[in-house]
Amino acid sequence: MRAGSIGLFLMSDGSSLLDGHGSVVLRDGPRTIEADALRLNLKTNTLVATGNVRVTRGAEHIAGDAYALDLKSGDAHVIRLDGSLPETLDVRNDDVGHATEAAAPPGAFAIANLGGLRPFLRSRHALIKPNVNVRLTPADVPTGPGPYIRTPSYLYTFAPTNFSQTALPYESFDQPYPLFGTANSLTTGHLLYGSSTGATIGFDQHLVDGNRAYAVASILPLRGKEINLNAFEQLEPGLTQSFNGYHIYGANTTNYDQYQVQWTSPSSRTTFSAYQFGTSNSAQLSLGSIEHRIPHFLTYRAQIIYGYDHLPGQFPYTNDFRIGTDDYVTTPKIVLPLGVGASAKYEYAITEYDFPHEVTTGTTTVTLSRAVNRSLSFLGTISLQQVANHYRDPEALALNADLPSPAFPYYAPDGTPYPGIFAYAGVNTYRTYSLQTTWRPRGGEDAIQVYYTHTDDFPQFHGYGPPPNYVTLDVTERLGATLRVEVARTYDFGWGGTYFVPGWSISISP
Amino acid sequence: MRIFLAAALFASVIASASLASAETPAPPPLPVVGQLLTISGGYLVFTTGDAVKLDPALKIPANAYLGEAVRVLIDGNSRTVVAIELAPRKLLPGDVDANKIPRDLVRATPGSTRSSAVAEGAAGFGAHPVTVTINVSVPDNTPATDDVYLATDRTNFAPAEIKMIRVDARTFTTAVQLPAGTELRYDFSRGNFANIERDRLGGIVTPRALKALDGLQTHDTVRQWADIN
Repeated sequence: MRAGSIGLFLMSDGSSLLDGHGSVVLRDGPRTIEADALRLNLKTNTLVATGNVRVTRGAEHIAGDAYALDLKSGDAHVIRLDGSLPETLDVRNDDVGHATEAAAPPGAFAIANLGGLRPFLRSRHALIKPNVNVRLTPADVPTGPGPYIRTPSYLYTFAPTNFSQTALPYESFDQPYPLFGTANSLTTGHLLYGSSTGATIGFDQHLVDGNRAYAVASILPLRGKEINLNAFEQLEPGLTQSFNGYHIYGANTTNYDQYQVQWTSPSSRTTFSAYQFGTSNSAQLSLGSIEHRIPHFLTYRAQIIYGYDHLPGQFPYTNDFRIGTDDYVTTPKIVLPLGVGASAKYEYAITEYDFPHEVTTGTTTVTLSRAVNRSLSFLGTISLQQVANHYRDPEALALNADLPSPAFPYYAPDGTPYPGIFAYAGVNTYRTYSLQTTWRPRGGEDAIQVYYTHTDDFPQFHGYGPPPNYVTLDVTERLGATLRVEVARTYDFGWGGTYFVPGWSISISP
Repeated sequence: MRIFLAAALFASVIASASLASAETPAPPPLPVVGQLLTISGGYLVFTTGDAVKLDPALKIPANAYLGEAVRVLIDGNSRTVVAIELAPRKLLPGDVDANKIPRDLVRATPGSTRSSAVAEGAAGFGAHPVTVTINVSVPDNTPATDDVYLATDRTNFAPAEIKMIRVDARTFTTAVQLPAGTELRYDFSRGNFANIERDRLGGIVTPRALKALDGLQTHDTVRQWADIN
């Protein structure tokens, strides 16, 4: 497709349009369409052309003032305004030489109203692979609200294939630049910025097989030199395998690989997984139920885990086997007086190691909710957790409980010394109380939320551990038809010698 | 009494007839709002496919583009467009949608003539925005401190597109404003690709689909998360 101006528009319903103006020429196999303006819907493969329209197919042609075509069927409608009265013609199966007069069906010429939308890309030439992608050469790419930047070429993919999986490490800024693609593959360059790596570039390659499998490989060739591979495959219903790995090369060489195969039946789940990190590796087999619900009574899940860890250099055991269980039970939501909804959950996990060590975790969570009306609601959560590390050897406790020796105490940010293991009996306690207040006028998109959280942990002192109190204000506002902004501001109170520690969070979505 | 009422009724009919026989003022031009398909050959054609004759004295706007919203005034006597307003900001009382334009104002050869107005189709201002509420129940093993996010095909399923609001221990909700009739595909995550949802048997989830209607509420269920056995 060539035109004096072509705009690629991304619509809020997920479709994308090419809008051409000025001496538009569209070539599609043996068919050539010339017009003053043309609008092509890349999702529905339909187009509408207007103004001095001429459609040529081989030796035959048809002319008119408006033309609507379904590219899949070749059926079209033509409006002619050069006679004594307007007339509408039907073209069947692209047979432009044998058009017949007939009223156009409703919606034949319907097109989206761009209504002041800014094109995502601008160009003068577009090469379209139906249902896959369109390459614009050259392409003007927008820079936020600012001017467009000219690039030699831009590949925009609109295939229904989900290319959203990524293998690139998380970065605070990621501008993708698609390079090559088919219906099942996509190669993309990325301009990245991260707090640890700074500005850098990356590339990733996607291979997707519908909803059955995908593999994504990525490389950061410059700063933060890293190779990643994520893959997933559903071998048959219920049986899946996945692989995730990264290799950091250069000065700080590190390897990590994880393979997992999982079998899920209607009542149980079995998972085998193997990890390798540097010279350490481990494997584990877990056998468990899926989440079982006993109507109006309880929901539960139980699983046992048997694992092996190989930790070179670890004292006293390099090879350590472990066995454990990880279970939970929850109550259904019940309604208390004043319309307060309440539910509770208890989780219990215990792991026994060959090395004389046992870790037990018990967590109780109670949730209370109350919707005052359509706009105002409250949510309260109380969470009590105890983590017990039982070492059958006091020396092992000192060495492995990650606690300071009395000879070398920790110091809190305000200079207070941490009392060390003498104050520790091997049990950590975490108590968290939170209240969320949500104001959503008429249950709509705009919202104001205030979260207050109080923590009361052991150990927790003078800046060590989470702050005892923090508050978050979260505001969501729609600023336009295609712009929704969420801004969050967090404050910690009086922790570690500082007050009102601010934190910003901004999220933008269509 | 009955004689008195009959006389009064007769007088009223006579009075009505006298008024009807008097010269009536010309009806005001009909405002019609629609999307422009083309202006050519002395006609303005809406995207409904209906063509209306232009008044020969009318000055055609130079920047009238394909698909642009227009409000036109159609003179009922001459059946011609006497004024064109591009990109009107809002509908006014009395505006007639181009889908419902009276058939006697539309010009077409007999073979191209439709017998009735279009029942539905492209409206003058495009689809109006509606609010859809998406509710989701998550598994009990969802970490209590984790947020749940909505991912849609609008962002090619960016996993942290919209943070949802926790309603209770297992339920999250969010409202999304969409043009009416929009077909939206969506799924859920806990914020990144490692913890997207999986189906009951651990497979990749086929995104759910909805068609935006005002007040639509969904009640979806996440069967399991990719990262939690």
